[in-house]
Amino acid sequence: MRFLGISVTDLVAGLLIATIGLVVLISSWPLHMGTARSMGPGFVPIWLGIILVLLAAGIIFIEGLRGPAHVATIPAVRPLIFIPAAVIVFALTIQRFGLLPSVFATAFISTLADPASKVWRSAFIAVVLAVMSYLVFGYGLGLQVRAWRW
Amino acid sequence: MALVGFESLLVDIGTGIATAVSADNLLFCLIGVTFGTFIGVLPGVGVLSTVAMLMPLTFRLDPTGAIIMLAGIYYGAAYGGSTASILLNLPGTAQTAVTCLDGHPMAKQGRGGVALFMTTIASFVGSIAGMIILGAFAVPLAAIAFSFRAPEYFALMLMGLLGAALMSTEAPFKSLAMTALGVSLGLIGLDVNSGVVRMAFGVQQFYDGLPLIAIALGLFGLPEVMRSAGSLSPVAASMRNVKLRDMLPTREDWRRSWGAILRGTGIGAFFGALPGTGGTIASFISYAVERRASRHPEQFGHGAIEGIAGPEAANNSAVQTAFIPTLALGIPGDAVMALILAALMINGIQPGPELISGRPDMFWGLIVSFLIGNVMLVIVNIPLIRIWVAVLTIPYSILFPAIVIFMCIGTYSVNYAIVDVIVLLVSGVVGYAMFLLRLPPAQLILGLILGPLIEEHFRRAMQLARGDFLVFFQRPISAFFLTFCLLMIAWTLYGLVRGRRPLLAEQDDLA
Repeated sequence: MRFLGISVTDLVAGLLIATIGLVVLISSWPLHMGTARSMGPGFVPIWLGIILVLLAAGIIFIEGLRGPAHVATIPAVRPLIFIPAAVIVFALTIQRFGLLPSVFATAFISTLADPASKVWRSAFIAVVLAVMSYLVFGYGLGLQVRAWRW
Repeated sequence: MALVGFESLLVDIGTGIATAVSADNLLFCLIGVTFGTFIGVLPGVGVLSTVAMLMPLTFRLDPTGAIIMLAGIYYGAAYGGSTASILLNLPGTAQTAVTCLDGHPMAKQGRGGVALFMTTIASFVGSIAGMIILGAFAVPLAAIAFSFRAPEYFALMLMGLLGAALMSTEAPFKSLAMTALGVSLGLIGLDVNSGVVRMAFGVQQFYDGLPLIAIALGLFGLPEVMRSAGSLSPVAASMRNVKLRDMLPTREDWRRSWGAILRGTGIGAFFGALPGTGGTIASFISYAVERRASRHPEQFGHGAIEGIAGPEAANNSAVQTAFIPTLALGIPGDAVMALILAALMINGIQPGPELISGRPDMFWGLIVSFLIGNVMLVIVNIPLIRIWVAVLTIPYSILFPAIVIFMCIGTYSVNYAIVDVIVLLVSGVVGYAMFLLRLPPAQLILGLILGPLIEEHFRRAMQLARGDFLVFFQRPISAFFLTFCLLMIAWTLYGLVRGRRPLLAEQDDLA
């Protein structure tokens, strides 16, 4: 897929990198640039911001115009929802509820990423993983985390 | 004087042997190589994410043992990867992708056992030769590196970053941009020279820099799972009853293989030590060389044993020599090496010339552990091959929840900080987007780890030279490295103008 002759994936990649470059540049702008002899904290990041913007231009106008136009394909949609959701659940529960409940919930949700998952099977995997991680991390490696907390 | 040096070298090597054969370190070595084979066998679990997943452990273990274990994963995966390539036509790791070409046809002809045996032998020969080259070259290289000052280190790191970004890509701007982004992210936090906090956007936990493990796992591990969950289906193993007798190659197989193994070893040793090239490229070049050298090029792709022996020797030899720049100079050639370097630094050990003279137990202990580990790998891979064939049948639907859990707990356990888990999540989403947009995450990790070092050396060099940029060209060694950098850039620009396909661009599709 191309837009004005530019590969769309390259266009998106380039625009993202240019944006990041501008963020680096703007957030480092107030920093002291210093002199070549005694560089301030701003010298390197400011130049990096400029370099990022230039490289983004290269991605769009050189690679995007001349290179092959790849089409971004998503192999499966379910993992895109359930894997990040599982990590969010882990972040929300690990301190509040402790290791066993947190791992159970995280593992259960991540199994849902597989379209063929079944509730009892998922629950079984989640229980096994919760017990296993407690044994490995809590007991075996001495992780400072409670087994459960209500 | 030379004699004294030789004697002390022997003493150092003795210390290393003593370190490596201690019960603890033997155990770490065994765990490392077994786990490495395990994840190598499994498609959909990468080496980088595994090393990152186990890095938090190194904070709880003795550093030498921890590094022995991490290194074991790295070279063990190169052994295991070929098993999946041969039996499933699905590379376990990118380095063994080329082994599919002839290994899988061999398996279909009922010679899978022979292929597995020969890849193990080739891997062993390549590794041991690579290890000897590592031991022989690291010491003199470190002796030279003792005279390096800030300008040399800056030039060397720049060469490493540019080499990694430019040598094996068809999209140089994308990989350079990822490198620059990695360096920028590496600068986040407190600037030690001025005491100013940079680009932390008010998040206090970022004052010490971004959490490396969370980012590495996010960029590599989570996207792997998000790509494979639900789509990697279990496969019936066809070789459940493989017997040792069926594995032994014929006299003809040996005759055809040994030359390939030796050539592959040489190719691997060379490309492994260079920054930016490694086992993957070495294995492809070895394959191309064998096909050209063969009197039967038409057999390649239909089960030519040279086509697995050469590349397997090459990738294992490259894995070993990749440690030369990391250990002797403190400059990692690829992202996994960069993580191992970071693991050393987090444990308060500065890789580079001082490591070899100051911590001979660790340096030589590590090298001796490579020897032990490779012997273990032959045992783990030939008599126990049935276990790995069985591992191939583990359904991914059981594995990936475990991987998600390990990544979450591993990330959290570093600082007991929720922020790190959020960084894992964000990096995972970013890593998935990078996969869709074909932006290479390995370059970002390399830049992230080398970023603060390269800036520090750059500023120090400029300070010493009183602001004269020409200092980098006035000192012969740094001038040499920078000339090499300019040559790489010129070569890339020439390639862009001519529109040539770069050195083995296909590996991007296989990786």
